[in-house]
Amino acid sequence: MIRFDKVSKTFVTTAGEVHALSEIDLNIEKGCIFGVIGSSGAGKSTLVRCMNLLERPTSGDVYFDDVNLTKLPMAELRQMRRKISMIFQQFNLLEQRDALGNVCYPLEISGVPKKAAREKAVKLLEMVGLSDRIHSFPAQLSGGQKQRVAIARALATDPDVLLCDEATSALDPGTTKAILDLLKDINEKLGVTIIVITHEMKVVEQICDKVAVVHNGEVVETGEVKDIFLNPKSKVTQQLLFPHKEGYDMTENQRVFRLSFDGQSSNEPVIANLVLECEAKVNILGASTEDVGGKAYGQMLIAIPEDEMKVARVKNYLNEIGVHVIEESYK
Amino acid sequence: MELNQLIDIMSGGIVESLYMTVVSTVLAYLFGIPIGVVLFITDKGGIAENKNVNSVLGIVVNLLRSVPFIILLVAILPFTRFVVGTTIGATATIVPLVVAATPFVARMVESSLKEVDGGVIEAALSMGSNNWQIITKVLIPEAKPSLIVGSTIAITTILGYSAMAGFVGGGGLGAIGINYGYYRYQEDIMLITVILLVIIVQVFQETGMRIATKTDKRRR
Repeated sequence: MIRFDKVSKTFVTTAGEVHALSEIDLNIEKGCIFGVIGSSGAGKSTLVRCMNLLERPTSGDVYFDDVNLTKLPMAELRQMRRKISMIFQQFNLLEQRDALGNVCYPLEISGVPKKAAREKAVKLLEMVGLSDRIHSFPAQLSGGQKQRVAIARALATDPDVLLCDEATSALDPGTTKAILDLLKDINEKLGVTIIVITHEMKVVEQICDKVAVVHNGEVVETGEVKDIFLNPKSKVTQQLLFPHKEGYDMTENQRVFRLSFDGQSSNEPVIANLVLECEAKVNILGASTEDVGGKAYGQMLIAIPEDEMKVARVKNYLNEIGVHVIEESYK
Repeated sequence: MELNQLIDIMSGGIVESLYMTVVSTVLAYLFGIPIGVVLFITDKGGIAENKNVNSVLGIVVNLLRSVPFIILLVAILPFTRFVVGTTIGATATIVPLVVAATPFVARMVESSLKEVDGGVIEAALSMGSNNWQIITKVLIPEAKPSLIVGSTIAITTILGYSAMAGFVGGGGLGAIGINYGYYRYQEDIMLITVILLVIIVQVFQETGMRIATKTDKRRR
């Protein structure tokens, strides 16, 4: 559906060149919900804007249904954009138009007669659950309602793809869930391919089939959400899955390690054995683990008192039983 | 002076002043809106970014704006005669008023358009809008309340300019104030014209603000 071939984007600023994207290859299949996750500044927003060429890549090609968008003349690109809709974190509704007027806008600009446009807009607003707020202006709507209007507006031109740029980041958890459910519904019922840009793992977890992890303008990991969750390979992904929190009391001399479980037996008392074997006072700082069919997956942060011998023993022991361990630097 | 005579003079002055001000404002907007739009869209990051067009237009606008109105009034007398055939009276005053007000209006329009949220423009682009659609269906409608506030400021400024035209044979309340009050030392008449001008400004200001608030849909 959407394919990136070595897409790079460099911004020239007064402070020098910023490489927002470097040689990104990506293939998003038709009909799926694809997540793009990364921390802020990772290049997610630039990445999604390269999909409808709101940002033109400095080099590389963007294909939509095997049409190379970067080679299209402007008029044809505008036609294509009607098939690649977008919703935004700040909703970006026309403030001087009511909900109906907003949903009519994309139909108006593509030359749909007024009456037909209104009828379609009313249906779409019903579909997103706003049939009673058709004549409300954006200022009279809540955040969740505004995003629903934006979704109805994005669907007006019967798009094949819906790009969601941090679409739930300005919403509270309850509203986020409702909007994500709506997106999932749209994906299932209308077969619209959805691309979700987010910095929240929860969003990916809730609706995405596949995910790409972006860091410093590069895709560090991509695959099925389940696999990435259960067995994150890159440090970036691990951090996103189980963020290392600031503010642990580090007054005592201790060292912090991140353990990754990727399929050890969940019956084995790893930490208890570690304490007994190494005679180390292990402190569990936090964990996010899951038991899938008797196997342990997830991440754990532990602290051990500063002592070269003990630390070496702990590392050895964990390596022996196959738990991946990396030291976290707190300094 | 008889009261009847005074009322005649003053009502004539009011009509002339309003005529000059309103016609000049309408014409200044007719020219000023396109210039303001071009200034906005050709600016850095605009939908039709063009450094050359933007700088040239910007310089012309700034040049015209820096000429004091009273000097502009005299300097373009030949142009005024060419356009309306005379340099005296209310109609002749409209020409320099439009020339002076257009660049001012253009900057006001530009600044109103700058208030439109960039995200909304981006959304319109993402839906496949062309530049004309963005200007006519997004920029101007979204900036409407601000444009109306701007036009209120513009019309009162133009009214002030029109009073100055009295010095070089223009019409309206300004001419009455200068002819009777300044040249003939009839201070009471001068005072009346000033009071009338203040009232007209008040009415314009109040009406403009009310319309702007009423049309703005950003209220709850």
